[in-house]
Amino acid sequence: MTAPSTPPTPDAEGDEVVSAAEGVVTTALTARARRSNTIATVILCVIASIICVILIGLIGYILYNGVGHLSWSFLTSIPQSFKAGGGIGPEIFNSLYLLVLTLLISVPIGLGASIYLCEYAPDNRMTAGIRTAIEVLSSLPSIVVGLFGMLLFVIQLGWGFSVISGALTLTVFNLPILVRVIEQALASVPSTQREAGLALGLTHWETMLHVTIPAALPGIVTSVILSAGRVFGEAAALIYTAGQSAPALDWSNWNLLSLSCPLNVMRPAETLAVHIWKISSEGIVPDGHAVANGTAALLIIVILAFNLLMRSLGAHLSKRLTAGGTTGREG
Amino acid sequence: MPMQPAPTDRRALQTENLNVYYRDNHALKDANLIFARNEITALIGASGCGKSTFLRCLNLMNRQIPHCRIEGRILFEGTDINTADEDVYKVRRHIGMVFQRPNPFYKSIYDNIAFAPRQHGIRDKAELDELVESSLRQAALWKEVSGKLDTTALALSGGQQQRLCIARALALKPEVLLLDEPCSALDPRSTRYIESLLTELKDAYTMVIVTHNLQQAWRIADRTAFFLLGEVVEYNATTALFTEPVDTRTSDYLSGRFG
Repeated sequence: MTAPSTPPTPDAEGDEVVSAAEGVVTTALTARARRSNTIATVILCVIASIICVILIGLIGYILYNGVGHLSWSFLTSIPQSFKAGGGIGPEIFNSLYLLVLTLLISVPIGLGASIYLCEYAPDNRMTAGIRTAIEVLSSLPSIVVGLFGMLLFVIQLGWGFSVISGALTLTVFNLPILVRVIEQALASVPSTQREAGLALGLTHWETMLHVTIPAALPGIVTSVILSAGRVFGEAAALIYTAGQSAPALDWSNWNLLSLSCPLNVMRPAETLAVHIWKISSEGIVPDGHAVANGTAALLIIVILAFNLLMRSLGAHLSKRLTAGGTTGREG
Repeated sequence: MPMQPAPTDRRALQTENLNVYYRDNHALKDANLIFARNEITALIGASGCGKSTFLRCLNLMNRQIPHCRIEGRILFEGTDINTADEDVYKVRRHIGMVFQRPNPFYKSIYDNIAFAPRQHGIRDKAELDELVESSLRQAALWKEVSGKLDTTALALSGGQQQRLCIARALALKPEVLLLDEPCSALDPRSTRYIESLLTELKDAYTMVIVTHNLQQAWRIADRTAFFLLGEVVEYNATTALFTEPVDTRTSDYLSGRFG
């Protein structure tokens, strides 16, 4: 590849040269295009590698430091306040319980809101306003959401530091993102699909339910996975809502009003992420560092497992609803 | 407007002074057309001349578009369907539509066809099986797909997908089939295949087809209407319209002077 000493300038001058010696100019132009193509490819590869290195480094660091601390007793026993050897048993359950509750509340609402916005809402200032509000909300710092949750659920409604306060706060935190991403997934289903349904004498709702949603399912599953990861790893929004204490859980206690009943929504429930924050910022246990490391490793492993589980569930569901067609093409 | 109306006893569909407005844009002006039963009528004209707009009035699809106003009468089997209390869902079961780009649902071949009938109340498995087979046979697709009814429809070729869309429309046993440039996204071989299919289907259905392809109109249509700037310029038997156009605008268009 030989580059000319002075590369030909495009536009006006270039046109002149073309008429004079078309062949030479074409070669020079191709050479230039090829060179910039190579440069661009190299730059993109470097950027991608940087991201990979950071990611692998981070995850590797967390796992390397933490996995050693993971043991059956660490995963099942209750945390200690003053001496070493505490576990994170209740925190694991609390995190999962809060995640499930939050998703149970936020996914139906998020789905409903995004269906309304995407399919039914008229295109006017009001809906534009709602969209802007959602975008602003989705970038709200989680500590602000947490303080809002504390004022409303913990203090105003008198629910105290509780699972339900935490779950509702996380819903507030989670909904904007969920609505935005699901709306995008629905909007990316070609309008020709809706037309096809309507032309067969189906109502808007039937078309929505049986044509648009199944087609958008992979996108919807992705958005739920993304938001679940955020919820599972969230600490700031929970510190003042679900609280920083994890009462020991008694699995034989099914009295929903008892403090040790796992499913009691009115009990305080420190989660894994909050535990990491607490133990490394104000914890006084001697092995705090190791506990935080082990908890962080577990957090990552659980998110990964949840991700894989949801993906295979989504793929299965999508296959049942669309005969494996969403990855195909139309037209 | 030079017109050669269809015989009165064979009218399947008829429009009277049909006008369509998108906000202030008068997209269709006083269209008076009569479509005879068991005939293919082609609507030709340059892009943006109102032929697709007209077609989408016939099954009330334009009602889905905000700020679209449809005025005038659309007579289906003698009754005006362009009324506020008309059941659009019922109308669309009787007047099927096939679109420009094949748009099979993201479902299996079987479900593409069985889905709408199932929603409309057919629950019996044997009846649905029978319906799927007969529709696919009618659309000349059965032989190609009978062994893989449970696989996704999106793996079919473009021509097969479009025939599936035709089968899907036929499964509702409509009286009229509206086709909006059904071959414009297909290769010549698939196009010829669909054309011969439509000619066969003529015995059972009334068809209205929008086409950009003048040869196609010539090959398959019994009657042809020429649209220009939202107006029906001329409507006549295809042979007459192509060989002895009355209006100079028609002859100009046919000889390729514009459009």
